[in-house]
Amino acid sequence: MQSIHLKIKNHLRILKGNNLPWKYIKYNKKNNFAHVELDNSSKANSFNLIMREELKEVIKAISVDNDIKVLIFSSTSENFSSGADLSEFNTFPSIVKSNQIAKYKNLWIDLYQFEKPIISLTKGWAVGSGFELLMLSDFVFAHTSSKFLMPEVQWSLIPISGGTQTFVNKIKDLYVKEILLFSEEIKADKALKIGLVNYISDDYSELLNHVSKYVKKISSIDTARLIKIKKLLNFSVEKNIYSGKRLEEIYSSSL
Amino acid sequence: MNKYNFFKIKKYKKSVVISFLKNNMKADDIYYDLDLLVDDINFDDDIWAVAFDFSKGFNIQNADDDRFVYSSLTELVMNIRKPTLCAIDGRTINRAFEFILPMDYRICTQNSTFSMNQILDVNIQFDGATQLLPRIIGLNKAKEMIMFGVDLNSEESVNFGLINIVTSEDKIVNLMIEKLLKVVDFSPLATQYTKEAINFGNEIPTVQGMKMENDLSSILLSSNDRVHAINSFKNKKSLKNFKGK
Repeated sequence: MQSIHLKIKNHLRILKGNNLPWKYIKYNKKNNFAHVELDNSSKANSFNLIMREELKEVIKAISVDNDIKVLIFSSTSENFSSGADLSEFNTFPSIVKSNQIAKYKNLWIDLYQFEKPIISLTKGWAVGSGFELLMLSDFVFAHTSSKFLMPEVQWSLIPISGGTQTFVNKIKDLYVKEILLFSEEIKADKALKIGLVNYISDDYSELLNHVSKYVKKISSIDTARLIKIKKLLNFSVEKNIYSGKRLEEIYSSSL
Repeated sequence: MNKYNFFKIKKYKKSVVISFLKNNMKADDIYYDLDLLVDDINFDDDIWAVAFDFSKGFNIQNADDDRFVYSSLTELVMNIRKPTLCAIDGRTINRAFEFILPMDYRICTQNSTFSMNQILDVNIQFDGATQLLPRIIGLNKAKEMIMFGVDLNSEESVNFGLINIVTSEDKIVNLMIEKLLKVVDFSPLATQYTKEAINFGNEIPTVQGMKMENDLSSILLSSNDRVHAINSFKNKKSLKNFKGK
């Protein structure tokens, strides 16, 4: 576990745009966007404890960096991510401790509450937590090679990166059950049809152009306005429409 | 499980297929049987999933007995903790339509249609359609069906997310069994907890739902199935024979 002193030091270096010696991610800050690449290709880009810590740290720094308006996720290899690193499972000494850490040092909750727009670019497999990371993104662009799977029920697990909640917010109930409960594989064209992704293309460079266009468009908008509109849209799926409407009034009158 | 007056129960591997003894049923008749059946399903460790076979068509009429007019069949189906599927053929209308809404996987034939005309009969829906249908097919289409009695055919039903798969009359039962046998290959504890997290997560704020997900996952940590699954993964062994313990 890193000391607080070292964390603050790293935090300041990330803010300055310095690339730290990350082990499982690559981080780049360009103009007004941050690009985080999942980089654990020897293990199919699975999320291990260190990668999750690194992501937590970089996301915290990006969230307070006033220069950055958009966060982009992609991967360095042919697949987006194979999900949690199962070889780390059943190694934690205490269920209570593991539950506390899962709940109160939760990367996925940080991502859900991340205020700036998140764009993810996916290709190949996005499995388990990898798929769930896409569902925590605001826009998903997918190569036609993309395939999506939530295999948790096959391994006597349940999703723990927000899947049971975020899928419900994004797609219709029937598809949520099809994916999470019946563990059905989804290909890129169906993902587009049911609303899991925003855009698909068989040309990866075209996808990159598409992302650049979105970044350019978003960059022209005032950050405070972007943050407020994202909060309002997320609030709209939190079920209490009257509180959401009130928040909308407060936000619009303060602009 | 042959103690029911109005249901026929057929056992498959770790699952049951339920059908109505008559195509045209009264809600008050079904209510007692269904109440009993849901308890049996939930507490029988050998049942991991349930399918309702309506491939010969079905209809549910409102209760004659005033005391049962508002007894909710839908709530009983919602209380089933295990995955539920149904196979449907023909015209599914009003209470029968509401009955299938809480199910997790729906298959129908090309000839199937879905509609509700309660509002035209000087009544409104009272068995869950106003709450469940907008979540399933979206608010606009749900308003069309509920307020204007608009029908959906099988193709529209797939497009609007009401039906997972459309198939022919001769294939529908086999397809239902195939899906049923697929889901009972998974860990029953994982499917139950996943279903719980999805359904109840709908009712609470997202962050609270995410924390509930962690709690349910922690309960699973101590299960034999979970230990067996992770050990199989680590030892590169095939993953079969979950016990539900």
